[in-house]
Amino acid sequence: MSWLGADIDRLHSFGLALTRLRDELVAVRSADPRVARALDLVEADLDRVRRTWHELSYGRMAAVEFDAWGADGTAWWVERFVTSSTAADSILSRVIANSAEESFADRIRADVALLHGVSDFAVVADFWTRATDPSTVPVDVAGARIRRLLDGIIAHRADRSIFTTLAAHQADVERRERDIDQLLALVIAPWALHFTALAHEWDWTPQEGLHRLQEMLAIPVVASAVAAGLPMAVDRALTDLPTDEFARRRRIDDVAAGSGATIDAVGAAVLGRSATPLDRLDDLVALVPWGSWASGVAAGTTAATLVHRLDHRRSDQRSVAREAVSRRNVVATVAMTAVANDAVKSGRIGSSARRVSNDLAHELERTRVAFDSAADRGGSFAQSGGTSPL
Amino acid sequence: MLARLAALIAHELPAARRWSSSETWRGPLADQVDDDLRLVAHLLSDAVDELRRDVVAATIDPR
Repeated sequence: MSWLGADIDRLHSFGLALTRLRDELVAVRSADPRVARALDLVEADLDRVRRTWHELSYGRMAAVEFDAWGADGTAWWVERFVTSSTAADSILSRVIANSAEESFADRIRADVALLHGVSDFAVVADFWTRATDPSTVPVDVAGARIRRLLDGIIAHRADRSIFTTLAAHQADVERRERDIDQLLALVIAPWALHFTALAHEWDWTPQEGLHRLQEMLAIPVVASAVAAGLPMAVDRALTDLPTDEFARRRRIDDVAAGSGATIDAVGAAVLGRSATPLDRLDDLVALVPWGSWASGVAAGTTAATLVHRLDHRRSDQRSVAREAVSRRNVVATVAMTAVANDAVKSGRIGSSARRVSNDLAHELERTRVAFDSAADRGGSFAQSGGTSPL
Repeated sequence: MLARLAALIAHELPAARRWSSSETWRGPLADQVDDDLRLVAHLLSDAVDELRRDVVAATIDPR
């Protein structure tokens, strides 16, 4: 099943309306071949709506069952270590077999029990990455799921007083925590901009989003993934721009500000983990592999922010920083390309046009400047109250 | 039959399309069903237009 957001009660009403339409079409199907064709389409759609409604209903009930199991923290924690297959294994496998993951993902509240209670973590990782995939899941639906997941993990890691682990199981628990860190990296990286300038789309204040991002960036694998994934996130955020010129400019400025704030937060997280300026710069440059186009872009823009902070470094360190800074304009190029592609898609220019209009040329240049300067201004984002600092 | 088809286009079809909105569900599957219903509207509209033309032609020339 393709992942989506749905209202189960409205879907029920939709099914009833399609049933009435189908019944009326059956009565007149012999009137014309096009009516018979329409009937075939409506019957296929009715089947899709019914199957989806069943899957959502199943997922909702499975979530109730799962939350009852996950509510008793000490019980499920112990069960994980004394049985080869837990109730979480059983419930999740039934949910997957019934294609009911979507409403299960929206309804469960015992997220930590799911992360720790399922024996095979690969199953949970696949479940969560699909439940938050930006190519198939609507923005607000993914936001609600991710916010809830992060809240659960943060609360669990802050207070483990009810969880006691025998020494024999300690390595197992630590391995699972590392698995969860990897999962967080996969889930957060594509949505990094929604922790800053696009936080309003997730019903977060800019301060809430930035605070959560800073908490997550303290996990090295998350910081690395966010840095590497930023160009893709920028490209996605600048796809399907508003047709209204003012709204389009506002969107570009917001994404530029979010890009800068993300870069700043990654840089600050790396600085916070290192002891000396040299270590800090090495940390930063080593954050992502230089061979990859995407990571090269991210590392370059991240390093740009640090040039001002590390002005006491030696000349050899400066050369490393200069090389990094020279790559910063690539993220601006990603943004310009996305804006130009959107202009083609929306018909503002033809794909074979040799020259663009003055307005579009101005918009592209403005985009480049916005992204180029955003890296150095990201820190002012949180103090701006959510408006673009550009 | 023409009257029944016209009534269906005026009532049952718009009712179904109203529920096929982003408030009900969103995602690739929802987009596909929405596209289908748009095509259904075109098919039925074309069919009813042709049936009406046939009725008019039959009225003018009963042969």
